[in-house]
Amino acid sequence: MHSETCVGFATDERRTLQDSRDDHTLMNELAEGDTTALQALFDRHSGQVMALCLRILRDRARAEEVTGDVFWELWDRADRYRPDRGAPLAYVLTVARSRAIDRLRSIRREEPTGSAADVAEGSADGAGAAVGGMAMHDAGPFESAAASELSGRVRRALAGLSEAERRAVEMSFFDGLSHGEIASALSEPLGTIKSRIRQGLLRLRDALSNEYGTMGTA
Amino acid sequence: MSPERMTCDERRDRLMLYAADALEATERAALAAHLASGCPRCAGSLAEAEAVIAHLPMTLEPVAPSPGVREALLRRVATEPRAATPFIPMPAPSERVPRQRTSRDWLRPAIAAVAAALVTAVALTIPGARARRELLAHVASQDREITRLREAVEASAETVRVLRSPAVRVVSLSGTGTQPQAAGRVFWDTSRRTWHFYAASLKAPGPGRTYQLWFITPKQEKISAGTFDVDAQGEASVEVTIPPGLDAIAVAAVTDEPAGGSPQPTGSIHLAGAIAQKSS
Repeated sequence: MHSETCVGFATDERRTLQDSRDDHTLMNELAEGDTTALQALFDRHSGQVMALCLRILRDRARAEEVTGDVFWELWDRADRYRPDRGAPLAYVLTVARSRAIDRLRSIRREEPTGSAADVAEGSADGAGAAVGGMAMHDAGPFESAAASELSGRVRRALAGLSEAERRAVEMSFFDGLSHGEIASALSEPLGTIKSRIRQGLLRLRDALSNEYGTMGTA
Repeated sequence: MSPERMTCDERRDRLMLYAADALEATERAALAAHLASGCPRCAGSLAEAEAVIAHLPMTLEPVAPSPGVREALLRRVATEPRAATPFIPMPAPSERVPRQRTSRDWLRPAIAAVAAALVTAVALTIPGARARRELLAHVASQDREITRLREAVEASAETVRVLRSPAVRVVSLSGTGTQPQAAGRVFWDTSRRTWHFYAASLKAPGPGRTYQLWFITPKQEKISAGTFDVDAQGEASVEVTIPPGLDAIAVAAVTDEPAGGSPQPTGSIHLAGAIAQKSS
């Protein structure tokens, strides 16, 4: 992941175009009505939002539409963000997932041809639905190391789950399927699916807690 | 077991499922009611669960939306009225006052119980000097109990405040390719402007070399946070005051440098952690 171990730090001209305000500052300025804050948040996080929407909806046009709606909502309802509830990116991704799942459910109601079994097929690819990957913004070596370190932590935590647990968690999270729908798609008893999702989520939490050390409140 | 009768330890697991929207409606409603009662411990568990869920999408590679998405968004912003209520300025983290509501909520049942005990005592024992003496002793004992409870509540509230305080941020650093086994953590007290840095499983830096901790700003300026050496177990700790004027720090990182340290990093990066992604 981090092949560049010895680096020249003196300047990094690529960074000059990037907004230097941090996400918390941007959220505050967004609430004050600063449209440049919205642009900066879009430039910084739309790739991650789009990837999530695309993973859930599996349709580029729909994913782009929801991505636009998510950032509009961020602007339109800037009063909903609570800084004490977590990092802005986590909030943005929570809104994105919720809107994409809403859209997915409405599509399923309108076009009931796609079955949960089709989804089960697709989810075996994991994150493979993401296409046309975009580099994380022009980051310096430290930021690149930190960003890949974060996604690496989550990947390691997911890798600690059994294949069956990971699949059940992903079908629940990315495909918005109910436990019953997952059970029917995988031809497994409902109790088994419930137990896998529960165990998967708890193991994920414990793995991330071990790495972060701050998630635990007990 | 029904959620009403669970302990908060047991609720912690259910809150993970609650955050993932994976609970039956009745269980969900019972937990929502408990959360609405203001239990600070379960609020912390919920925040923890939401942080775990929010991290799942970060395993996906970013995908750039077409330029038209950005253009359409900006057109919409320029033409449509906004629903957001007028902005109420938020205090800076260091100015935030710890919320007291939860601690008073905790105390309320205890005070109510003591008050009920007193009413019963009064009703039963008004006649007679001996009874009055007993009543006074009872009141004194309950006073001590209230003081003890209040102190316990305040101590717990302080712990909760520190755990949840926006003023204390925790940054996790992971080993890079050079030392994947290494790990570090920074407890950043934003109100006191100090970093408490701890490292583990770092190898000795080599002859004539030392480790150096860096504050990296969002503009990629690297400011030394001091050098340190590791003990025989590969552990180290550093407490450092953040220099005046340094208000935004995006990354914490550790490099190896010639003994005595360098004004700017020159060696390999061994530990790095992004600060914007706080999860606490």
